[in-house]
Amino acid sequence: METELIKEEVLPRILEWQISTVVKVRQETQSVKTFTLALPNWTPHRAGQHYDVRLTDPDGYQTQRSYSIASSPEQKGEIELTVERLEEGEVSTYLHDVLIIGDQVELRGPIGGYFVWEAHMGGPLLLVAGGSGIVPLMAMIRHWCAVQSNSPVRLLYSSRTYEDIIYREELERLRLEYSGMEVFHTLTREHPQGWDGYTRRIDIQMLEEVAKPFGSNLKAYICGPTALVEDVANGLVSLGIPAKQIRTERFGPTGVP
Amino acid sequence: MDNRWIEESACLMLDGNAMAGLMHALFDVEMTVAILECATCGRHGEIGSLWAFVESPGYILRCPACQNIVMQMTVPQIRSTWIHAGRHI
Repeated sequence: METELIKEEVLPRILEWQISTVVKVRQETQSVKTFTLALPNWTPHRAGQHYDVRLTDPDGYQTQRSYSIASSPEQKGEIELTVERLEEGEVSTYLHDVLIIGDQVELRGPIGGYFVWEAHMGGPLLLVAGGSGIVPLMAMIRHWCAVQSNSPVRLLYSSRTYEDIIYREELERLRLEYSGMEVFHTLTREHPQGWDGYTRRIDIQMLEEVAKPFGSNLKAYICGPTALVEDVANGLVSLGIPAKQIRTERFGPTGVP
Repeated sequence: MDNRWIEESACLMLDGNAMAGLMHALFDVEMTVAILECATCGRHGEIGSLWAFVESPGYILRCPACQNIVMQMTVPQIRSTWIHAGRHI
């Protein structure tokens, strides 16, 4: 086995738990909230990274989950975590049902170096999201806007219904404001009258339509449920995109310590 | 090898980056961009590109090319971690 730990952008950094304070809570959709957390030891993150959130019971029982950062690194001193409430979720139900402004949350991060995009990495950038898989991609989009990147970006975003589209208004506003950015929605369950977006699960034809203008040189980031990520990643490979240019983040039912 | 178990567990499959926090805490360095060579098929790839299975007593990283185990880790209640990397027969 060969291990290569030394990379230019990778510097050793001790990962320590810290206590953040909730400064804002925003309801994004019926089951999704964004928590803005002020951090005593904030360090700039890279768009796509995540934080681990740890809850401790009075009796000492601990549980933790990983949540992608939604805010851009340009938003200093605080981070935004957008969390979907999972009915069986030990941590997400607490965050949704109990947490209010002023409460404290233990977390560590930023974590991860694989599923990240920074302006210097260039594009063109193809972002494909399913459901709350939009979160790390939103950090990339916000970063892209903040630095006014020249790389064109296309987002293909699959949601169940119109009401389930997270960041819907912000995406619409950014699309109108930035000419280099295009947003394609698909609604898989039901769609409002007059809807002009896609109305089916992401398939090869849809991928081809969205990705084609970028050629095979694009950088793809896919985040969502495992089945969607698999289908999209395989689809892009079959369209001639080299696997090395495709980065994926699947989310499963629970997190990892 | 028998891929049936992997197919059945596909819904539980994550990426290597899901283990970034645990590995960072152990090695004090961001590990998901470290490149590993699969001892079975020789594929080179970043840890973040491996398949991660976390719904078991331990954490398992598999090679996406040949599906064999590249690394497995167990974190028992006592403060120690068992790591095995390499070929599994």
